[in-house]
Amino acid sequence: MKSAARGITATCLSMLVLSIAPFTMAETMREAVLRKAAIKNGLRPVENTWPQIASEKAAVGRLLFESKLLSLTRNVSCRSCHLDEFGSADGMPLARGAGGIGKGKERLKSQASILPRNTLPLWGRGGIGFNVFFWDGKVDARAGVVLSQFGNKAPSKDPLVVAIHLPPVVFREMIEENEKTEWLRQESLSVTNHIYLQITQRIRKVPKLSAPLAKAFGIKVEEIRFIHIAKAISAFIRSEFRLRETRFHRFVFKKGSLTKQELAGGLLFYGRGRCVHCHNGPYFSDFKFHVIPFTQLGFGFNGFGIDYGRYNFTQDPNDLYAFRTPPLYNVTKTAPYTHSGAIASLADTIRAHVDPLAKVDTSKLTAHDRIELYRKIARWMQELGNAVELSEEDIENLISFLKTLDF
Amino acid sequence: MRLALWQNNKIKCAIVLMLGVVIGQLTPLLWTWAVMLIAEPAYQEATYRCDRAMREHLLAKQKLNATPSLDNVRSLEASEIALIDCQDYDLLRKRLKLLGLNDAALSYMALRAIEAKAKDLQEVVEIHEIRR
Repeated sequence: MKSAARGITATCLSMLVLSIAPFTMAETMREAVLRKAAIKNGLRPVENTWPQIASEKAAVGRLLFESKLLSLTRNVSCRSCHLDEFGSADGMPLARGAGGIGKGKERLKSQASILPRNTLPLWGRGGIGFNVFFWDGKVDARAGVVLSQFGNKAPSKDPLVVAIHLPPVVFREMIEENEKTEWLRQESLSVTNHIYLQITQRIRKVPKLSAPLAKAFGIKVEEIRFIHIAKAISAFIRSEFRLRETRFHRFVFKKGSLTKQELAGGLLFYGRGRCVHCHNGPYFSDFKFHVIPFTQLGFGFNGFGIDYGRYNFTQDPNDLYAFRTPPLYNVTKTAPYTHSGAIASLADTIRAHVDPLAKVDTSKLTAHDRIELYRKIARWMQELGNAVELSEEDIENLISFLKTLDF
Repeated sequence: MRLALWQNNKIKCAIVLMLGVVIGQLTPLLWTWAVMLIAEPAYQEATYRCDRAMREHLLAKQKLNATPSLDNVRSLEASEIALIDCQDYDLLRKRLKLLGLNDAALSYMALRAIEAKAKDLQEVVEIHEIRR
């Protein structure tokens, strides 16, 4: 009885002393600070990111996006790995491309070859200012010209159209590895052009696809080229995956409200957490390349559990282990995270950004893996947003804030 | 005998008065003790957070002065937002004062906060050493 009374008294006192909500004036100050920080760091009304959309091309683009004819071996479509239920990604750590069956866990069990990287979601791709594509930025139009594997023979000045040219010519992604396709395994433009021609010819033969495609571009069916296919898909991606207004946009631009936890998370994001150093601009990405010492899952792009990231494209040792800052829209729906999908939860991913050894048992790593980790940590130490002390509550607040970027 | 004493109104009044004085003296002490007991963990955390924010802000300012760059400007701006932790600390301090804690009690809790976070004697030395 006495302890119950003491408990009640303590609770009342606690509530009185500690849980009195910050005074209204203080709340307003916090909201004002967050709004100002968001705008200063590049957030814009979502309409400002919308590109012009060609609806007729987008309509046929959808059909092409969902067609397995885009795969030389006819066993995967763009849609196979970009699914609504996984925030336009695939819900798997590492993608299963050509030959994969089913979705999510079911696809994980299928016999398809494993790709070295995590599938990126498509939100915002092709929007105004979104001009760096893929984890390693192998299509990069920041300089005003499109830099890509095509060198000076890029098929388009539109980086999204160039990006769409890549998956159909990548082994394991949209071409299944087998005896018949082995001869295509050479990096030459004549081989890629051969693949584009094969795909184009088969699409010309399917009236359901070729007729609306030709009509959308005002050409005859026999005049269809792969560039028309890529442009139609780009129109679809621009239309389907354009950014939508989020609760955070409404908070910043329409005086909407956030909960106390979301507000705390937002202030942490733009303040002490220093997330904004890389996750800024209208897409919450600076479209630059940074090193975060995430553990590597799978064989890696460079083999033996190594992925040199941006270096693979630039061959500049300063770019070793660097990856493009991923945008954050719908980030709560796109688990697992990191370039190799090595981390299952968003909380652990945030923790790994600022405290990479917190969840890693180095005694269980091989000597090789430890050396790799040290090299990444050495690069990470040069980043502005490294080594930030975050409590569990801070991480919960950050996740709460990130949920306001969902739509 | 005892009953007879209690029946004496003067003695009764004196006892009640004495009890009143004792209760009157003890209540504020007990109240202060109770508030401190409950508020101390939150106050310790707020003290630490504000101290951390101030240190980070100072370092960011020094870094910008030494190496002016856009990145360092951003760092300073982020550290300025982090100073809201000190606003939280001040708000908590004011609330505790409204609840009757005086500066001595708050200072006591602040010292306990430092002791709780300090890993060795060096931090205690830094607080108490005489500086020229």
